[in-house]
Amino acid sequence: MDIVRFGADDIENVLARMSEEELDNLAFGAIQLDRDGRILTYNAAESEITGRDPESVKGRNFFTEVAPCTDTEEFRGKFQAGVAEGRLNSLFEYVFDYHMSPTKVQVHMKQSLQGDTWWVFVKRITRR
Amino acid sequence: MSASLLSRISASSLHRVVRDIILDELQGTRGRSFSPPLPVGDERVELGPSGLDLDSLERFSLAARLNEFFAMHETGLEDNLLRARTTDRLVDVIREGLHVSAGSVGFRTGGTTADPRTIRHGTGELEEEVRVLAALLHDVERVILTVPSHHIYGFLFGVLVPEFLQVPVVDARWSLLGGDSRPRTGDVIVSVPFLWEQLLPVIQRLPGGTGGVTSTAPLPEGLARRLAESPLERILEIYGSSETGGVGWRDDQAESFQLFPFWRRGESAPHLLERVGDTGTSTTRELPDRIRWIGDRRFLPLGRRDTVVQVGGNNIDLDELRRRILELEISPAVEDCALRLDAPGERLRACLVTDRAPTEEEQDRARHILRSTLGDAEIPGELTWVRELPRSALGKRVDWKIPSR
Repeated sequence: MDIVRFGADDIENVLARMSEEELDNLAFGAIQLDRDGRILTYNAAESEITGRDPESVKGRNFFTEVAPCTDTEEFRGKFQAGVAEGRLNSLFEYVFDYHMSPTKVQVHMKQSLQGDTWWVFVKRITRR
Repeated sequence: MSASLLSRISASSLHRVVRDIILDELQGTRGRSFSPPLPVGDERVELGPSGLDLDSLERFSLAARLNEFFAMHETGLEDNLLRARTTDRLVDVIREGLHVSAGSVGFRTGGTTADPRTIRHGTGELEEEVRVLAALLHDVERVILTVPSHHIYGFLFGVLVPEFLQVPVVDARWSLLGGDSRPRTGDVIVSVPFLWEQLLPVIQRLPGGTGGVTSTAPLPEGLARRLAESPLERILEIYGSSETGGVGWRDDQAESFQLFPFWRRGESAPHLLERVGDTGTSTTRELPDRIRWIGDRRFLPLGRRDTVVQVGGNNIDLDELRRRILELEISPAVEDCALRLDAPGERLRACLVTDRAPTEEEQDRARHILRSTLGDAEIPGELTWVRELPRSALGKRVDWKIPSR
């Protein structure tokens, strides 16, 4: 079995070949955004961990409507800078605390292969 | 090489491990007396409101604990533990992870210390031990397990050894050998001294051809004698520690322990052991006890090394001080006593067991007796009165809580 590793540098290549079902089998959250941050794809891992229905979040703004704790210079700022530059590949740690107890996560932002959408990957850090 | 034993653990064994870890986690957050509706078999339980009602923090802690136990982060699949809504889904995720990588298992040390540590045991070492243990139990037909499966003792004897021998496990953690867990010929009962005591009446009625395994604490002499006189044909006693796993065995209390073949006596101190690896390399491990060696392959443990503490520059042997406190004429009579030093520079803390709560006056008098008979450094700075010393699921003492003031 091939396991897609979080943070892999060629992840946009792997994802470009993936069916929706395969995307849902990823062991971490994968959210696809347009340049303004509107949600195009919200995979099963992210939905099952956050308890949000993918259909109800599609079309909404990730930073302002769905995960307001990411509407910061550190998170959204990185996304916007990468989109503006036409080159987004950023890996960093962050804390999610919107409607939940603070959870440490790793975030990987990457431009998709087609170039006009952007991926935000999220992995919860359960390792102690 | 065939797939590791760890990657072949059956779903029903994993159900038991997951259940025991959930119970331990929830008793940690909701109190020791909490008993959630967890099944004995493989029946699935919802983690959410219609079952265990875990909140988001508890779900996260549980995922972290399972990740730690099975080293799931080595697989990249660990976040799937957070997606699970039921116990059987957790088991599926773990099985999938163990297929990808089963490098080590992380056991929390018993609750005897204030701050629990996780000790990782590599799969290779665990399997080496399992082969030796399985040889000692080669004619066993069933394992009756009375201890939790997430401690190293229960994991070895209740999961890995039965898996290796391909024999079924009967979960008797709560049934005291009644009902379906009633032993029959060919069974071995895996237990600990604290539970053997409670099982004695049942054991008197066992059929022939049954045996027992005991570990985690010395068998008190009286208990060992009563077990020897019982219908149990053999009691296999394993000496070990959380840090080392099994070290040696005996099946006659009058004999010393036989060192397992993968250990070698250390050279510079009696409590040191060398684990000899496949490649001929060896690593040194420490035992928590003082050890008397009889030649190079047999030994006797003589009691814990860490009972001596320093208070105000004085060495105090807590075992010895405990014996002296038990002899004092304190009212109500002190049946047992636990002592500990929490940090250098502090005074000792004492927990006294009495069959009723003392009055204010009795407490004052007890403090006066302690002050007038013990040395300055030996006098406990704080007394806690209890009916019973708190114990873990394995019957080991756990630290008592300091009453808030």
